[in-house]
Amino acid sequence: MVIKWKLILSLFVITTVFSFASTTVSAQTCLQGAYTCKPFNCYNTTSQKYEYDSFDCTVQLDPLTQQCEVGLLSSYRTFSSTRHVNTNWNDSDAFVNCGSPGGCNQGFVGGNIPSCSGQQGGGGGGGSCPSGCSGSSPVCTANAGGDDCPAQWSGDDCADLPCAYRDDCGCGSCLENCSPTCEGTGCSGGGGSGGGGPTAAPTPTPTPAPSCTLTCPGTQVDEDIYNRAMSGSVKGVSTDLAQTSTGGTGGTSTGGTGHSGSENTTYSIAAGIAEGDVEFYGVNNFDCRIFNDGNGHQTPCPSPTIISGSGGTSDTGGTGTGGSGGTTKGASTNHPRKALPFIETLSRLLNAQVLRDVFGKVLGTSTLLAQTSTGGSGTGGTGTGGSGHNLITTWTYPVRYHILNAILPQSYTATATSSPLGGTSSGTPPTCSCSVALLCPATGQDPNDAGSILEGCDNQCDFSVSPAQEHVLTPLDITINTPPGFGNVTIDYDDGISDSLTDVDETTQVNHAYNNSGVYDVSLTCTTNGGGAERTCKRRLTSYCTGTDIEALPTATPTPTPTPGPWFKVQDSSFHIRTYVTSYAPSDATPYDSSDIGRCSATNPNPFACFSSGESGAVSVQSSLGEFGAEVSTKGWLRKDGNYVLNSLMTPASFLEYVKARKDYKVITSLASDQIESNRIHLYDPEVIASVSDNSIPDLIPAGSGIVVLVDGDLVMDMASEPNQIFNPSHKAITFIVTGTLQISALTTELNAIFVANQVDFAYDFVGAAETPLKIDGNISVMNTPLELCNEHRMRTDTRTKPTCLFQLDFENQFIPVIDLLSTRTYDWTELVPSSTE
Amino acid sequence: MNQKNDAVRMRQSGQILLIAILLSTVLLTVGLSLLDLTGKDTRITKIQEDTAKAQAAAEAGIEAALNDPAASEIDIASILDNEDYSGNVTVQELSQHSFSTPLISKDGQYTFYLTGYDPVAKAIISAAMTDNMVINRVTPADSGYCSGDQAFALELTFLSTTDGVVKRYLIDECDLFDGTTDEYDFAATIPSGDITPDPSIMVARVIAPSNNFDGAKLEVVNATEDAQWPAQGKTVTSTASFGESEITKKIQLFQSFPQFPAEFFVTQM
Repeated sequence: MVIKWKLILSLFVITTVFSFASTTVSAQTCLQGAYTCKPFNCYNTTSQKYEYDSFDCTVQLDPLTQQCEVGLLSSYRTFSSTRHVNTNWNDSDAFVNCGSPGGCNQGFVGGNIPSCSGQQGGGGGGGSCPSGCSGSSPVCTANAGGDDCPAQWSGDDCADLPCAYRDDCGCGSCLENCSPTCEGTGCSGGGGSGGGGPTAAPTPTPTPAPSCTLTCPGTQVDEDIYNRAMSGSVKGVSTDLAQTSTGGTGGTSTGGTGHSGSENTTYSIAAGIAEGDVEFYGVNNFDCRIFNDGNGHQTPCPSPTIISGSGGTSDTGGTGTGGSGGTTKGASTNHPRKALPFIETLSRLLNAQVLRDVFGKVLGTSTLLAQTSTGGSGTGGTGTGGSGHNLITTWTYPVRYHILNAILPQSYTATATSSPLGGTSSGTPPTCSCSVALLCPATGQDPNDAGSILEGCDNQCDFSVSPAQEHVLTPLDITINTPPGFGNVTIDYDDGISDSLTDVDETTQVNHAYNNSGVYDVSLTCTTNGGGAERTCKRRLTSYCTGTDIEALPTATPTPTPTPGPWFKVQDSSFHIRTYVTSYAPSDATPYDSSDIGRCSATNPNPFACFSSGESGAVSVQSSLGEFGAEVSTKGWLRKDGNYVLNSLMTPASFLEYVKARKDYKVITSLASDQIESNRIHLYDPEVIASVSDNSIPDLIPAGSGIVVLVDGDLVMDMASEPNQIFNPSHKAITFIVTGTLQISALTTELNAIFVANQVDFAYDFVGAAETPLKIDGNISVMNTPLELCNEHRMRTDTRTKPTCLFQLDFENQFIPVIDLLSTRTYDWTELVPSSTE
Repeated sequence: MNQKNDAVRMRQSGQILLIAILLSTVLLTVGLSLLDLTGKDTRITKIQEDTAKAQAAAEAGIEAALNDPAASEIDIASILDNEDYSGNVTVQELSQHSFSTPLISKDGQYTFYLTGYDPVAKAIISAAMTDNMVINRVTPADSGYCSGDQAFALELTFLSTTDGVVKRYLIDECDLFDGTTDEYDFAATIPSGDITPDPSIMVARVIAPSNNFDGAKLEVVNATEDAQWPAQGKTVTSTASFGESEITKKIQLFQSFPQFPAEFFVTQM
């Protein structure tokens, strides 16, 4: 037992003596500056003097760890004294507060005085290696077939690899019996070099304890405020709460080469909901294995991003020159490492930059990341490697805490746990955690506002809530708004409960009450009756604590006006749509082209920032949910009425019958120009599909004349053969009445005609959203709701300020010349009594 | 015994004769009655036949007038090429101080020609439009029409042959629409001076939310003193007679000038 203890102690002493490294220390107060340290080395029996090594060090504050660290480190053995005393950092003890082991209390405290004679022993060695590793230093190389081995580590000495990657890089089996090992005194031998001969046993310098910090979303508070919040004495999140960052690495070495567990907790409070990322920050090789988000999810820790790491290489036994400083991986280094490809390097630097900003904010500083150095001087003997790496890693994990305990604060605690430590001692795996105290919602939010929309909620799938603002346990009436085709819906209340309904129409209501206060994201999924198409809508609503005066709540931070998506507009026309429509005209809207005359209300500073411009007519929407942005038109005539069913008597089919019965017409067998006559109605029953692909028809129509083409079937308008893909640039009067579907090619940009069709496809030859804008100058009248509105099937990407589609009523050019062709008559018949003379 | 038998025989013969005479009388009466009825039926049939022919002739006259945009008067006999027919057809385009529209259905519209329409040229007549206007609601007549299925709004679109849409007004007594800009009530005077450039057509569109709406009938009154609206269509009066009975039928048809269906005029989808 005694032998074992001595062995452990000696290994520890040798390791730490050789590694005047890992000088990151726990900080109470860090006195930054340049210092000279003169730790005792040996007693020179020849000169009869005590010899000291002299170290010139620069101490600075690590902005991340808030620990002292040694920057420039050099060592040389020049100083000797007859004084038989220890020295510390600087004679003035300026750095005393950094304490051991960061301080220079390296000297012996009694006992045997090491003799300088016989010095120059072996340097810091890597220990022995198992079969397959050569020499005294592990020379196993990484990525022995490991597919998951990061490229930057490939081919490197296994000893240089961070522990987290060793298994992936095929180093685990090679190094597991090596000394040092990951779980031992360090990932690799430090930069210990040859030291002197037998030395006095210095005070062991424990390797820094792995530790981590988790930061939860919400307002960071100290533990006292958090506890008061959980007890109910803090009712909300106040901006004047001190934002303190607690933590810092703790833990002490409990002996051996292992580390005991350390625990570190940060605290946050939030009102109603805390969502965002839990941010992890691990130092000193914290090997995170398990993450529990405190909300029912436990997962392996996400793959970390390495901010910095260090580690010297192992030396074989040497001649006892001074130990070299450790290096920071990825930074300028003096140990052999192949250069990272530029892109990888840049990428890592950028990552580090981002993370630095993140943590700089958290910690209240924006100073550069510390580059910790390790390694140290060897002091001879059989020296094992110096100190290990100080690997700093980070990752994030999205969380969302949103449900209270009825009306009481609810605590959520996320925890990161490392792997059990190996080495020669076992300890509790270090953990870190963050806790969020979720308090009663403290701001108002109307779930029926556009600002509450989190996802979807278009014309095919939406819902409204009544009452809009409610207390917990209050029953809610949720009205489903879907067109007739989307009859199957599933609504998820975000509290673990959902409902599925069929045969839904715009009057369908469901009822729900929340048992716990909180903020809920209610999701509605609408599916067509045939199951072919699916739309979603997600809105956020708040269930307030009982007793909360909802009316007195401050208004929630105004949600920015939804970024206008692709939109369409009409000009000079009355407009009716048989379904919900979203066509936000942005406040900075610009004209579609020179024909867009604009004109909105007098109070609108931008004449183009409304849905219906020009001499606008009434706008009616067969839905309670029509969105046109700030202003529908200069008149403001808008009716949103889900029960408004437009009465369409004169459909293309009925007009066809009317023409056959009442009007003069010509039957044609194609749309070739030689079959077209001016001022005639043409009946065309195509065998397959009618197609217009050029301007030969308008070219033959004299100015002031017009034609009507009745297509008993589908009509394709594909102007690919024409410059700019424009049909009828001369604006001749042409009307197409289509009993089937008007199919417009995705690249067609402009159609100058009147189109009356049973259905329309604004980009029939394109799946998804085409980017080409479309203008129809004349009119377009569709008897059925398009499967996709123009701003859904076409989404211009060149600018958001111009409408994707513009529909203009061109009365003078398109209607007037065909007034006799494109019209009906009314008749009023009366029988009179003939006079006596008749 | 024989004499007695002879006397009896003679009495019997007289009775038979009497019976025969009575029977003959009855039969004659019945026969004469039947003969009279047959004659009356024949005459009635003739009248009905002549009536139908007169009706058909009058309708043919209407048809002929409608098929001839330039016709103003047509001789029925010439149409049918039969001297048994007589009568004529007159075609008038009547200017009116006020014009009553037919019943306009839900979401339907009526095209009102402010400056006139030339059915021969099939073109709108260009002229200045300086007359003020009043729109009266004929039906629904109930003053409380806004409270039920008969609620409706009327969108008035004024169009120029050269400038397109020049003005829109909304008569929305039932507050069916948001916004109050450019709104009027029924019976209010709409000054032409507010509408520039001069329009040639006014389209009155009925917007009624209820599917049970029965339709609206409007009266468009020229509010300028002594001014009249141009004709809004053809008034065709056809009078026709046939045969010796000289049965005469007279019918009148008002055919409007071209009407744009609302389905073609409103941008809808």
